[in-house]
Amino acid sequence: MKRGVVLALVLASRVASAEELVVAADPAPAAPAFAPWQTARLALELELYSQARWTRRAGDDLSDLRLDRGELGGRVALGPCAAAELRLEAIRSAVEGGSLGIDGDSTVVRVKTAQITGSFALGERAPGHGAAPSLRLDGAIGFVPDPWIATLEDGYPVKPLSRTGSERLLAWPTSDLSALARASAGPLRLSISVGNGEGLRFPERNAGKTTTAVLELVPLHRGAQRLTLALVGRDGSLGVASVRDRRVGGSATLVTPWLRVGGEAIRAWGIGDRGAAQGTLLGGWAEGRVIEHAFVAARAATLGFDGGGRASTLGAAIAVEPWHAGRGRLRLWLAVDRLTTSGAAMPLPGADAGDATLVMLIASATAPFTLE
Amino acid sequence: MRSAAVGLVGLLGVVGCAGQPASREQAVVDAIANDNYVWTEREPALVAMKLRKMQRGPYEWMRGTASLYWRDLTEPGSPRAATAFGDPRSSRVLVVGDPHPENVGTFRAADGTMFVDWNDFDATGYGPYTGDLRRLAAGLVIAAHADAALGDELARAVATGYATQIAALAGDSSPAALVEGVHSLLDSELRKARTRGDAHRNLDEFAPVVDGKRVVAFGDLEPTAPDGVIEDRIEPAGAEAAAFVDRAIASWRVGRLDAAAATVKLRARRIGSGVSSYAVRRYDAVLEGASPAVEDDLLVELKETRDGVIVPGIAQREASEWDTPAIRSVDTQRRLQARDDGDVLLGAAQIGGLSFKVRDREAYQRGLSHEDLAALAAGDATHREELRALAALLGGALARAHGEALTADGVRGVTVIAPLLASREVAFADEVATVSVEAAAQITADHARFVDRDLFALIAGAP
Repeated sequence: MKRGVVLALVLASRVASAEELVVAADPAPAAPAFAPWQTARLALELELYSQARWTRRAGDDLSDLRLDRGELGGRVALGPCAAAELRLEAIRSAVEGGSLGIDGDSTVVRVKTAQITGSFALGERAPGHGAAPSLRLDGAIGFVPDPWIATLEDGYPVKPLSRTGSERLLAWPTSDLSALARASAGPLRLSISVGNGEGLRFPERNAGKTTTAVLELVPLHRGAQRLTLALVGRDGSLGVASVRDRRVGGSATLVTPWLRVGGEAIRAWGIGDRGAAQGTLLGGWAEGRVIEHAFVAARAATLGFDGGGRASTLGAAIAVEPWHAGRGRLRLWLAVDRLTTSGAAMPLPGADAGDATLVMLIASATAPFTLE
Repeated sequence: MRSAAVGLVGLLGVVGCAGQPASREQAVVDAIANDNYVWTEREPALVAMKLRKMQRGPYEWMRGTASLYWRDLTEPGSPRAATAFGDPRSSRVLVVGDPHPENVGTFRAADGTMFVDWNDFDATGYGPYTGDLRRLAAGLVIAAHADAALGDELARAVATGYATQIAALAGDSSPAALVEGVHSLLDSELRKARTRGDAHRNLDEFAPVVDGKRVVAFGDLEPTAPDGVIEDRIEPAGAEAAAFVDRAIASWRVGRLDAAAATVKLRARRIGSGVSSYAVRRYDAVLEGASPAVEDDLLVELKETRDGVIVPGIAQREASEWDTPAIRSVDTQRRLQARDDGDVLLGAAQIGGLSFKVRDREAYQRGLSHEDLAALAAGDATHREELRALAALLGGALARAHGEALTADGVRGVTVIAPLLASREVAFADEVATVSVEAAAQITADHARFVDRDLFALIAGAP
């Protein structure tokens, strides 16, 4: 089964790569499998997703305008091998549906990432691999992005539609007060982080640490085509009661100029702050370029609990891209998202109260700025 | 691929520090820790006393664990009994949130009528009406120290009273407030409240008149309990708190009292009330009243209020319907009570990050005691019949509250509840009896598990 999935992804890559040859007459030179250490003196990035949402549910429909993501990050080089990075995000000060916030329920800014990073190249530079060393060691400490979420998002083009399944259904924190060590060699990269495990919401609340390890393999990386396979393991605890937070899983992402597809599968022991809950998450996404500046996308994620019951989200969208330059882009999306729950996944078993259909008009912008 | 996964897991076994095996104890500790997180950071000594108060008995434990109750009921991931009497619309009924028997009390309306109604609106919000109902029934079962047979009877009486009232409301019957003459225990409470209220008992206790002037009776109005819990203490508010009490009163009084009548003569901090809200900030203030004379002074309470029931996983707007928790508490009190003039001084004030509900603190408002219910249960057949009648009355009072208040969808609650119960009253009583007795057993078992533990050390166990 797994071989079949990998084979299908490779075949898809080859089909897409044929299209790539039509678009780009000169294939890009071979590049390192993982992004090289950034040497820019200053790098800024602004990421905004704003949406107008109409929610259809049993009873009154809802409509509201939301800022789904508002992030501003800056990275300053500290010599050739170190950098300091700070990334801020906008969040609502009250919980959803609550009113205990700051000055009403204001949108406030909190730290999402605040890390000191370093990079060291070891060994000889590999011939034919540009500036990539044969072995690179990276490290970070502070509020460090979770290596699993970072790996997923690296090949996840539909962030404006929904967070990844891991983040949305398993409440996997996007960053944590932690220390990260990472080693890259050719197509392999191993990342290990050891942190509090409480994510952004709390400081450390128990004696245990949470360890996350991600092993990535890039078997295909040619021009704009890239296939990434990843494995993840996580073991740790949450809260004063040391609720278990244990995960094992993997993902595959394929990126081509015309098609991006991916999927994740996670086995979870302890979900949210329920130590007894166990389940399996499956997620998948795809984005295809129909014509220049026009895209279609779909995504789905489902979490099945061992005790019976399932929470699922299924979404689809069309998007236009009036502007892009490098990593910078502006897109407008028209999306529909369906939420369903059953059994133990229902907020109120027997009442079907968690089901809803969302129609969203989304404007998303990613705006990087670099000073070399 | 498989060997790589095994390697990763092995690596985690070396480096990681696994969470403890899942257990009920863990779920309870986690819920209590989260519920008390802010207060534990702010005033840990009060939280420690609150936890000791909860350990005194199953009823006190129940009072202190409303958030755990709702978490057990609504949090996805654990097996929970499905209701046969719910749907999406009836999951957005305005609920009391914590309708246990000691949250029933007396009020005096603007025309002087004394009545009995729900008196704690800290946990109100939109949610499933069945959650409120089983909380009430479980509370009665625990208060009565009921055996299986009596517990079943009480829960069925609650359900029957509820269904009967819903049917009456659906038939366009006008709901009546619970006034004198409906039950002997309530009559006794109403009489005491009127007598003590007319005598300004609470005002004189807080600030007796000495040489023609009121002075605050700082100190313990009740001795500290053997377990170290402050029962009823009046402390100086401190300069900062005194300033924000005055600002809160100045903001609250608009539309209620003129500036002279709302002049703050005295203010102090009050410690010892409640169980769930034991650690919140409460201040009592004496206001000038209609004249400079001490006889018409007013006593009001400012009580810190937080978010109420929020059912996660239900599609809802980001923003709450209410600007602040105290405004929610005030608005829902008026909507859930049989009369909206049960407290003419009721209002809200926001000072910085603190949301205060302001209410009349005079003795017209007094609550039922679970010990009175236990006495009825331990009595003869007549007393137990009185207890069953009271259970039915409280079930009816809850139905009236749910049925008359507008839901989150803007319709009367009865229009979404009545169709679910019509011609199914017996099955409804069966379900309520089953789940309520189970909930009571869970609460009792949780209490037994933690009665001798250092609960504060468990919830504040951060390194």
